[in-house]
Amino acid sequence: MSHPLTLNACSEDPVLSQIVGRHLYHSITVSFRTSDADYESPARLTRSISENPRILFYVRVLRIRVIKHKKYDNSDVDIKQGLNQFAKTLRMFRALECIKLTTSQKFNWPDVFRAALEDRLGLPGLKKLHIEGNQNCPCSFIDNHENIEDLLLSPALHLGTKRRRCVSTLPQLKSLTLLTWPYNCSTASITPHIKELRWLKCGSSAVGHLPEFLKVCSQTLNKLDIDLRCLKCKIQVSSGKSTMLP
Amino acid sequence: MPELSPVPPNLRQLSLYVAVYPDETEHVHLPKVGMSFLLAAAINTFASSVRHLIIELEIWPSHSFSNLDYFDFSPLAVLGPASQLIPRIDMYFQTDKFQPNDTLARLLSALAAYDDITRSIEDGILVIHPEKTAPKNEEDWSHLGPDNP
Repeated sequence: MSHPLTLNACSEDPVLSQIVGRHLYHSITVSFRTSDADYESPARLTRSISENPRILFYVRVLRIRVIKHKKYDNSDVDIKQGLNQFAKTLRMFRALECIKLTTSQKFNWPDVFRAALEDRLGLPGLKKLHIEGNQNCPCSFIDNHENIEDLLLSPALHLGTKRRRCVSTLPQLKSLTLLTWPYNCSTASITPHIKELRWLKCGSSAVGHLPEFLKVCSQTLNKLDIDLRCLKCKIQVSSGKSTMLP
Repeated sequence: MPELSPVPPNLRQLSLYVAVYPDETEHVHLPKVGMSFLLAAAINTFASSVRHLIIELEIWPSHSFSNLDYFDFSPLAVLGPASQLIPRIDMYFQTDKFQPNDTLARLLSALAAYDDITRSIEDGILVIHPEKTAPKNEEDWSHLGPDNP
């Protein structure tokens, strides 16, 4: 029943379409890319929504993906323009539980889109934020959003460390995934959020920061994943004890 | 890992993902260089607290070996003493090359050298899952109960 082809076939039927819609649109990906491929394009999604506004209530997981084909491709003006245009649609999603931001090359989110994104990040039902790829992630994505419980950070992320003065609350995460240690990031930007952490997933280069995390969250932590694959930290052994150096 | 303190007192589940590297002579090490030390250190550090230990072993790269007899399982000896403290240990080992029964037989043969590990297998404390990867979602462990295990 949950196979996409089956769901697509059922969605053609006027009666079944309402039943399968919530499954078909539960998780969607919107891609912004330098080429104009229509698959998963924002225009296609906007068109679908205008034909069937119920989609806005079906979508629980929204992945926004930016694909730049060349590492030093500066022609991301179109992508940013597309994101800013999509901002209006983004603000219409009512039932989001998870937002995933994925970039293939270094990227800064444009202002209009960012404002809409931060607005949706404040939805009471939104619990998960996944940030994957080389992108600038300002603290405003997390700060003031008490609703966010599950945060995933993955490679080459530039996590902002300067907090806005208006920050009134720091969300306390229940789950944190660090696939690799974010670029140019200090533990001080993360530890204020993990005082009530229950599940910590540490990948490769983040393993070296475990001691600092445990000082903050050991009382609440009940699940710990340690990935010793691709471990690049140095190991210093002395007097029968070891210390991991990040 | 002396700095890994304080040890979380209520650690329900510890998952360790470990890579296994064949060397040029096809001898397979588990894991390479200092990582066997880290594996043992992680298990020893948290053994007094954790109630469910999950270990997933993965061959990197999987095409580079052809015989499980070359596999050095000795770093897993740490599981013997650990099974005295941890109520449940699940070990997943996927080669993508052999039938599950063959992989299991080789593992059991290698681990038979350790009495405490053999005992923990017989007692159902250590469960080996050949040619499988560990479930990634919390609900996948639901068969072990709400506060598994």
